[in-house]
Amino acid sequence: MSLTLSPSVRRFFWAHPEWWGLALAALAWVALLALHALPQAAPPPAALDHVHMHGMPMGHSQTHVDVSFLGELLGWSLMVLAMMLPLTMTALQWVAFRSFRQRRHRSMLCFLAGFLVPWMVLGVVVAGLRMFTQGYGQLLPSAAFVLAALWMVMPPWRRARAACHRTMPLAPSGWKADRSCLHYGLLIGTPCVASCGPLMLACALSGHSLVAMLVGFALGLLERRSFRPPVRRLAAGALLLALWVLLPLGTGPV
Amino acid sequence: MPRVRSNVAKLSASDQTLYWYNRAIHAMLQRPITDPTSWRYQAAIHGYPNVNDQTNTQDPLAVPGEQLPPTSEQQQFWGQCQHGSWFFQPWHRMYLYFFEQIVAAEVARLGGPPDWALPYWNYCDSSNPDARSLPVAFRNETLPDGSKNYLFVAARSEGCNEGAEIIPSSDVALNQVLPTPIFSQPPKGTIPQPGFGGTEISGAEHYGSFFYQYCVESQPHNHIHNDVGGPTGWMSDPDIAALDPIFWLHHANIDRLWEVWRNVDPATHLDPTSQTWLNTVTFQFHDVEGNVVTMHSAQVRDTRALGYIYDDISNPLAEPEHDTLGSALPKAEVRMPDAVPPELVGSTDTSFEVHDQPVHIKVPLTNPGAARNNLTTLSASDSAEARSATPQPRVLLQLENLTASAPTRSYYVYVNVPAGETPEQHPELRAGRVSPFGIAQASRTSTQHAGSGQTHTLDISDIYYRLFQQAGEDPNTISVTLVPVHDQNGAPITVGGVKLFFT
Repeated sequence: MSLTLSPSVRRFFWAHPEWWGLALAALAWVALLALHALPQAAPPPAALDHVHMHGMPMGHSQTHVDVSFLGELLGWSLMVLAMMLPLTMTALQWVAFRSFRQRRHRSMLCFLAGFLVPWMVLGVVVAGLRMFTQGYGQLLPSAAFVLAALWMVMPPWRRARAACHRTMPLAPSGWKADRSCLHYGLLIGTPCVASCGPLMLACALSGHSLVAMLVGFALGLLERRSFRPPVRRLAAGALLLALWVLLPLGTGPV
Repeated sequence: MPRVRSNVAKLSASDQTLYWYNRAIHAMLQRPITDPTSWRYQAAIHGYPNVNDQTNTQDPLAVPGEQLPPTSEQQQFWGQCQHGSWFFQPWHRMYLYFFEQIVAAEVARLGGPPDWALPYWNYCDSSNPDARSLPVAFRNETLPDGSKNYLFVAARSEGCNEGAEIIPSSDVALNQVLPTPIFSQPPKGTIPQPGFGGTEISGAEHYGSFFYQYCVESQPHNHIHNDVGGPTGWMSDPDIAALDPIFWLHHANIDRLWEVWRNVDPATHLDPTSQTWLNTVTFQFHDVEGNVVTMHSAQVRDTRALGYIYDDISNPLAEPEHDTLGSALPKAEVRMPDAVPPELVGSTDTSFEVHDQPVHIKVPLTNPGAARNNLTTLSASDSAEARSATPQPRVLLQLENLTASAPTRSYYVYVNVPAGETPEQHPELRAGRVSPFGIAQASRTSTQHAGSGQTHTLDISDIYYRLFQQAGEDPNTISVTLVPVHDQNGAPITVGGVKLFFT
């Protein structure tokens, strides 16, 4: 028995071959939410780690976790998929529609592999950083959000984010096509790390705070809408996050 | 009474519009570049070398040691021109509106008429054989009394200042631009779609990368820029184009064509209603007093509200659907439903360079017949009757990621020129023309550009179906020939690839 799709459904999948990229991002959000919904003693993503309660600076108690490298890397990966994948939809469409129909999904996979390489390199660094910075309380993530806000008003940030909109010609078939899609992924992923990396780092240092990730995601969407982004609003959003993480409920395990 | 912008070719011998324009330019040139009402500041609003872009261009009027406005002011007000999107028309209308007020104020101060208005250069006028030559007043270095003519610029294309016809009438024809009732559409699967006003985007973009053949920005706007400037003149470079006084008459005509387009059929030729276009995206200028003014597109839809009108906004097309090259299939029948996305059917796999000689490229196709069947099936409803009536897909040729280090020449694009014959022998195989105005800016990564270069899309449906459908089968390969329009030297262009789409 074969599955027959209605014409409108077939048209949707044809017009949006990148649908599974968004679905993957949605799954990552679900995973992050599920980890946050776990009992309080195991806040995400360090639900995989050992949780302790410590007296924290600034006079209020704070959940503290002995984070594990792999747990952090998993949390980082989910965060990148949830927050960054939706920002690459235009590039993913570019890849899909510049590939022959039979190899659209393969091309998109190659692109995503290239896109994720620089993010995972940063992820290894961030996970390592988390191993050394646990127990520093909220000041560290707050300072990271301030730095992310400062980064957004500097010319190199504008240059990096402009490069996130880049396109390149893709070979149509064979290993050349795989290579060019991989190359294109790297070409987009690298400036994407340069522009959004500091904000993502701050989100990670906040213990993957759900509020920080949601606001950071909203800032990313706002930034990606235009070649002339509302820089002040973006920086103000990051500064608000810097204040938020100073609140007792503002962070996950730090 | 509104100011009346008149056709420069129809100004009477005693008319003083250009005399006062000349004097106002002289006065504005005396002002320092830090003055928002100076000639050079006004030109820099469109573009200025190395503000928001890094190119090889230098300011030809730069004075060693002169003070420029603070960097923050340059980044806020200079290099703001909107190209490659649906903000092209409204942004340039705002730009001309303030410029005209500044010039008119200077004319009045000099003792000229209080209602001075910017004239327009109607090179689209097919009834005037001289319409495509530079207006006479702009050609000579000096005026009859021996004084300097500030309308003259030496850095123009070969023959331009001698009165040669700079562009054939077919290259400024409006028969594919005016009839479309669509101002703008979003790209479909990243492929630009037809529309008078350019591609729909979500925010301001100084220099977009995607150009569709039949929008007013591609034809005639880009062609005129390149043909007045030539490969190395001022008009060919967005960073210095507005220093040439003819720039403003050219853009007055482009602005007029917006009114002409709406006048083709006021019931169907409507401006966008999207809030993004109307109100959300704003632009900043200086008014005649030097005050900062913020404007959005909704404010510039009505020229009367802005205090000016044109002397002629009649539809120049006798037959709105007229097609100069003939058509195997009428476009309305070729077009697929909007819901159907494009499908790649052919592509080169390497980049190549074009210089000052024709270049022939083979584009291998992969089973175009199957692709067309897929699209046809997808576009059809479930009923057999409707499926049988489904139209043929549009065939689009895309020259993607064109990059160059400097402003350069235009190219004619031909499809399947027979071996051993020249493209010029086959005007029926000419798919169109690509004028890469702004290519150097689009080719470098900057704070406003991704560095992807330009991607130009041409509709070759007519040629494709004429060549192949009557033969009863699709080809395995098509050939594309790029022929330089100008003989003059210019930077080579790297073409990232050539692709063929059904859509």
